[in-house]
Amino acid sequence: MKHPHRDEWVPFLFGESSPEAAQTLNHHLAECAECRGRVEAWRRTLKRLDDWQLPGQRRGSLFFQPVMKWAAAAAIVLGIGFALGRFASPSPDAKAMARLEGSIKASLAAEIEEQIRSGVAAELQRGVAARQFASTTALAALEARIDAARKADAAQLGAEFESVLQTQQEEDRAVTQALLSKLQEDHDRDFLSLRKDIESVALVADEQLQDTHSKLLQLAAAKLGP
Amino acid sequence: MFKKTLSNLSGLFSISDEQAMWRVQMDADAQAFALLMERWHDRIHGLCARMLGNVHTAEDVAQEVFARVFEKRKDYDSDRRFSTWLWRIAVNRCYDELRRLQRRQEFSIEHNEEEHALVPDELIETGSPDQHAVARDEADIIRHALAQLPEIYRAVVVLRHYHGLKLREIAEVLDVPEGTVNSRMAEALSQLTVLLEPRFPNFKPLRAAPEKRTREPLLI
Repeated sequence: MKHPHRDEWVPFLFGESSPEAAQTLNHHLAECAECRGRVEAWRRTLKRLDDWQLPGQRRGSLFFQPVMKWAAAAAIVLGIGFALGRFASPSPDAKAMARLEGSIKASLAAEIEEQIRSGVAAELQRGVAARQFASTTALAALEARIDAARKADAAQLGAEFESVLQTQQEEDRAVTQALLSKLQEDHDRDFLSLRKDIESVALVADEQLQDTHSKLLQLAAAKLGP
Repeated sequence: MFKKTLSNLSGLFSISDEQAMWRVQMDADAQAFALLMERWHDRIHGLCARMLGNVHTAEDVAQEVFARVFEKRKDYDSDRRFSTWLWRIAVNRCYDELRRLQRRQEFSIEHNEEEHALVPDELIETGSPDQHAVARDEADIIRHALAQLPEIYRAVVVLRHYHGLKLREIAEVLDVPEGTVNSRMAEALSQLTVLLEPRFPNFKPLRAAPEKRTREPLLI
């Protein structure tokens, strides 16, 4: 009997083979004890894998606070850096900027990592201590405290973020305003000088016109004369 | 203004992973990043724990995965699924960690007593000491068998069985043809079967607890 290739049983096992392939394989399975034995053994193995369950992660959400704080800090620093870079110099030194960015990135990454590690360690210790020693009520009180602290933290973080954002926006606005008024000034100056030029041209033209006119009159008088 | 920030925050909860990652990529958006972490932390931690065989190391590595996501945010291709990119970073980070541990000869599951903490959670809460001991043994047998697989085989089993990825998605995550995933899975299942069959002489396919667990492979 010709058996299907071993790999063909994999999509079949997970219900991912095409209907035609599944039909062929089912047909074969009904007749072939050898392949049936293999597929059943694989099914048993997969079922056994469920015996390894990981502990629940109820404390998980507590981990996000320090990380979020650092991510927000990173975002603010990067944002300020970008704004400064945009307005500081008309011909930025690209290499220096890249170096600066690289070093900021590296130090931020290191700090985030350190913060994450220490945060995780602290949370783990707290979690273990709570499990071992705290009664249900003590645990509830602790959770309430943590929750309150987290809320206060979030509010403070939000306010800080807001104020930094506002300052940055004001700076941006001031710079834009300065640029605009300078443009307006330039424009006015140009306009004035252009107007002066045109006026002088017109004046000259007028004089010449009058000159020509009087010459013509003289000429006509001479012709009409005796 | 603060109210506006809060409404932005609540608006974030309805956006897709791809949209959130786009915000992280464009504006280094801290809120969007926190949202992605909240959504994905447990799954990434689970992957790391299964790959490394140690929940504590897994926590460190999972955090490093997210730090890397933020660091590499410019490399994310917004036309592709965020999950594929994230799983790939996580799997690669696990490979790196395994190599590092092997170099330091620390990856020795047999001598790691701490790992007895890896028991089904419901048994920690309610189980009798006897049940506890049995569950610990079975979990240890599985963990040990998985650790004996070469890491490229372990990755396909973990992604498919514990995280419910389709074989096609696994191929995308690992950047290999689907046929390669199938053959790695076939080899992994064959090796696991050889390792596990003799360890469960009285295995009964129908037990009370596993039914509940198999239905929710993502909840770990």
